[in-house]
Parts: sequence; structure tokens; C-alpha cells
Amino acid sequence: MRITVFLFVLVLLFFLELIGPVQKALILPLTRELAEITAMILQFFDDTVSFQGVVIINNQTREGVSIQPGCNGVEAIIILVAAIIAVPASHLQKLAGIVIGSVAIQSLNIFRLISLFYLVQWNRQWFEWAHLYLWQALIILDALIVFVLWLRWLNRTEERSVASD
Amino acid sequence: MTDTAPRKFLLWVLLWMPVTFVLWYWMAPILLVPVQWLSELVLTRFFDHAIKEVGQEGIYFDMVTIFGSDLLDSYQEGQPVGEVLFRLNALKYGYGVPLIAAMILATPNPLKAKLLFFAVAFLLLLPVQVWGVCCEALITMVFKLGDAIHNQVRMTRFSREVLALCYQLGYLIFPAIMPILIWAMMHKPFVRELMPNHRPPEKPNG
Repeated sequence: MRITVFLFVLVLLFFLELIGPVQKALILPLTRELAEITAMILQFFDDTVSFQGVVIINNQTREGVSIQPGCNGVEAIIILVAAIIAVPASHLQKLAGIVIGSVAIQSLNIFRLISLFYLVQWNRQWFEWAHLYLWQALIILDALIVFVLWLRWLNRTEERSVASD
Repeated sequence: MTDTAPRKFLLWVLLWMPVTFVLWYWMAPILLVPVQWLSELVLTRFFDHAIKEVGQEGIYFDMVTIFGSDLLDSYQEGQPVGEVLFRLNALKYGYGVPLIAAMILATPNPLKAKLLFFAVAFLLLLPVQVWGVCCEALITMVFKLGDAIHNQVRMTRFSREVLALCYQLGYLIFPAIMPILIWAMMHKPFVRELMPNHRPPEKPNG
């Protein structure tokens, strides 16, 4: 992995993410979509759940979670994308890694949002603990594991293609 | 290394994480002492026109400013004037400490080496935490305490934009990426086994 490329792409993508038009056109719609998917999953087994914009709420207790920057998984995806771009591989292989990796990160993120939604209703202190510390670490660990698996897949693919030649 | 290596590593990290997180949280008031020292050093040296002291109470840092409470928007005529003080949670920039501890413990190495790696990692993660704390302190004064204090902090529009970017980097990126990078730098042979260095196949000549 070329570390300078990684750092350059990381800072560039992060900077882009913070720009107003990108927030408006991409990040906020994505965050709203994430809230909707999470609420829909919750509604399968909990009919007290509703959502509005980026807020998922329990209609009875009026407690809920608001998906803020840092909670939408975008930063973990940015780190993964920067790492994948820094590895010499074909565009198709990189695209596969980015798409599958983003889905993996967002899947865990939805699980995180569901857990936080129930934690905030049960105990605010545990919610803070999970929200500020534990889940942050788990999400970045998820990105690392996705990257490791992608690299190993890449090597297997290359080995197979060399063997078949 | 077998195909099960990443799974085995992940499993060990996940097994160690509850232990390291509980220990870290329990020891947080002690582990944050150097963060408080360094934050106070940076803020009182470079922003002495705003911050005069950084106190610590458990996981919270109290920022004592040089400003009087009469500068606050909420101040009402006739009220006694005190120092403006605000509090921030310093621990939220430090979750990399238990994460890297779990990763170091999950990496096959003798115990002595693990302890040494952790000590070095702890030191290397201090600037990440200090960065986060200092940026949050400045962001609070510039954007949250009202116009009068904002004007006293003396920041140009450009510096405010840079500060906002530094804060976002310090909150969203550095605490997440630094433990991984530090761990990878410290365990190069293991990382090479876990993530074989990828080289695209050379194209045959002719």
C-alpha cells in the first residue's frame, strides 16, 4: 500500500465530505436513507418505531436517536476507500472492494443504530458508553477486516490467473 | 499463514476488547492525566489570550477561560461576574487506546513485547487526544459561547474554517485511523502475513 496515496486520498475525501454542496447532495440524503432503512428493519418487530428525516423515535417513550455526522458510517467508508485506492489493483477489483466494503460497513452501522436506539431507552449512561467509545472502535475494526479480506481475495485472484496462464 | 488467520485475529481482538475497554474506562482518570497536562501546556501557551487553566475531574476537563461571565449572552445586569468555564468529555478522543491494546494482545508476540508495544502506542496516541481536546476547546469558544467571546478569541474567517476542519479531523478521523496505523507500523511482519503485499502480475514482454 502506498501510504502517501492513502493519506492524500483520505484527506481529500474527508475535505470533500465536509463541503456544503456535497453534504446537501450526497451525505444528508444518504443519512436519511440510512435512518429509513434502520427504521424499516426496526418496524418488523417493533411497531412503536417511526422516523422523520435522520431521527428514529419510539412513539410511546418519545426517546430516540438522531443520526449525526460521525454516526452515518461515511468516515469509515472514506478510510476504506482511501486504503483500497492506495493498493495497486485493477479498477474493477477496486470497485468491487469499495462497493462490497461499503455494504459491509453500513450493515454493521445499521446494527449499531438499532443497538443504540434500544440502549438510549434503557440506560442513557450505557448509551453514551456504546455510542462514544465502543461502537466507534468496532466500526473502524470492521473497515480494517474488510480491507484485509479484500487484499487476500485480490491475491487469490492474481494467483489463480497466474496459475491458469 | 492460513485463510483462517484474519478470522482468528478478529476473534481474539473481539475477545480482548471487553477486557481492554472495561480496564481503560476504569483507569480513565489516571490515563487522562498526561492528556490534561499536554492540553493545558498547548492551550495556555498558544491561546493564553483565551484559556488560563485546564482542570480535570474524572474523564472531564474543565476549561477555565480568562473571560468574565458578563460576556455571555445569558448574562443579566446585576448578576455577579465570574470566570467563564466550560467542561468537555476528554475520553471520547481516546477509544483508540483500548482498541490498540486489544489488537496488540491479539497479535502473536511474547508478553514483554506486547507490554512494550502498548507503552509506545499509548505515548503515540497522546497527541491524537490532545489534538481533539484542544480543537474542541477552541471550537466551543469560537462557535458556542456567543459573539462577545468569539470576538475576544480573535480569529479570522479563514482560521475559523481551518479550526472547524481540524476539529472534524480530530474527532472523526484521527482517533479512528491512528490506532490502526500505529498497530500496523509496529507489527509489520504479522501485517505482511495477514495482508500479503499485493503486486499486480507483470505483463509478459512482446
